[in-house]
Amino acid sequence: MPLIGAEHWVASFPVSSVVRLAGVTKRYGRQPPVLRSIDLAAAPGQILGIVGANGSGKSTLLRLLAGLSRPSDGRVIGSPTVGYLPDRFPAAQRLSGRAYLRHMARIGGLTDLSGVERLVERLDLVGGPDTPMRRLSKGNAQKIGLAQAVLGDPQLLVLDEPWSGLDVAAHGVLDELITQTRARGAAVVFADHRRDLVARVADRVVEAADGTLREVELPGRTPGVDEAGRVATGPIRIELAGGDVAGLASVAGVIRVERDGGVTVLAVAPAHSDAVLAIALDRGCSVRGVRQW
Amino acid sequence: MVAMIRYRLALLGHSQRYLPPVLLYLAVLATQYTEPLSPLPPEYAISAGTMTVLACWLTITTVAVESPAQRLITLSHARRPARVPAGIVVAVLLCCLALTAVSLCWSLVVHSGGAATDVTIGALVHLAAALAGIAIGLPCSALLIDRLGWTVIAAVAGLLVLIMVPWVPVLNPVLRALSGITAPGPGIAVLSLAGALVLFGLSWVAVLVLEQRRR
Repeated sequence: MPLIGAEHWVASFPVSSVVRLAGVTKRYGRQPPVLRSIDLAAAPGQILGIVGANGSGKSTLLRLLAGLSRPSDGRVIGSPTVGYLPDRFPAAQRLSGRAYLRHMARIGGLTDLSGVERLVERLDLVGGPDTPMRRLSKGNAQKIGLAQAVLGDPQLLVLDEPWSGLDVAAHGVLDELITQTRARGAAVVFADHRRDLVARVADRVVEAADGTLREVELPGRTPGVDEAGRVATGPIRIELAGGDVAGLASVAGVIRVERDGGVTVLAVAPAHSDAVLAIALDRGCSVRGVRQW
Repeated sequence: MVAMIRYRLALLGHSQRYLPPVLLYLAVLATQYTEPLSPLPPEYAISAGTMTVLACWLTITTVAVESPAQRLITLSHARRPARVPAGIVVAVLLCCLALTAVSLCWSLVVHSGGAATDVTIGALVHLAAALAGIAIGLPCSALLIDRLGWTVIAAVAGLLVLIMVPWVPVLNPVLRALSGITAPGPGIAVLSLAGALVLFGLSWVAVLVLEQRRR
């Protein structure tokens, strides 16, 4: 399902990073720096995961990338359109979720608000979209937070602990939104303290600790790499439901297509599994499973 | 910008936090506009003085309706940092203009009309009072001050200086002139409005600079 106002900006975006931190230091008042001389770039079409313990500076790093915080030293290069979800989405308003999303869409310059309705429908809010946000459960409020972040197809999607409070069904929607955002060429940066979760989703992982960042190589980061870090040689099994599956057989990396009841099963070369998933999601398919064949 | 103002007004309306200052203002008007034969300018002085408090209170309230995290989200959609406080200022100013219209109409009904000069001066002074109140409210709000106690202390101190201190050339001179036996000319109201605009400009720049430094 296309996102709101789907504009495929990536073709006209000439630089190799959507936003880059160059030697950025951040301190609050006279406190010691939270981050020191950080160099980090978010590339188009990349999902960058940030892991780290509580208080390691993950949220500060995300706010700097999103342009919502100013560095004490160093530079933030690039000013993309940003979708931002804070670690605790504050849903204490009497505004309904739908009204809030419509306001945010208008503030962001969107004139066609039909995409808001599609997002609301997709997120399947318990209690309905016209329930005041303050009455929503934590998970449902987080869905509203997620929806506002992807409004208008931002060039950079910044998510702080986005899985927090979401139920299992909503995890799937979040994964889809992230994958779709990457598929249209935008950069996704997210933080979470759970390594396994970050490893499952991200293309690249960095760890924040003691005010600095270091690259992390995590096993099982992409389909095709097992828990021990061995590269799988067999195909990846991708199970899809719904959507436009016609023509998927001709997509690069798809070895064969089978039908299993209402589920379409693809056998995909490991190196192409991410790209095939993105294409399937873009065609409206729902991912039911991804595992080694 | 229209979208930002609509959002601010919607948040304020749903929160109902506008009710205490607005009810206070209406209560002052109700006690003020009772005597059909009394002159208009002294009544406008009371109404405008109360308008200053109302504008300050509404500004602080309008900022506080959003939590800091939600303000960041709004900023991410607005893209330009100045649009967030600008939406707050315009929304509060619209509320103040509406209540100014209520005050002026109320006075005209009670007095069965009034001199055009008096009403014009009254309108100018109310506008100056609203701008001055917003100018005090912005830096005292959660944009710069996190703790409510400090906000209250700073706002009360600012309002006292603005309204009570004679050598602060924004509101006190014009309020005293309106309260006097001789009706003032429009010149002092225009000067007051100019002073309020300068005060607002200073407050605006200070808040923009300091708020960005805090983030």
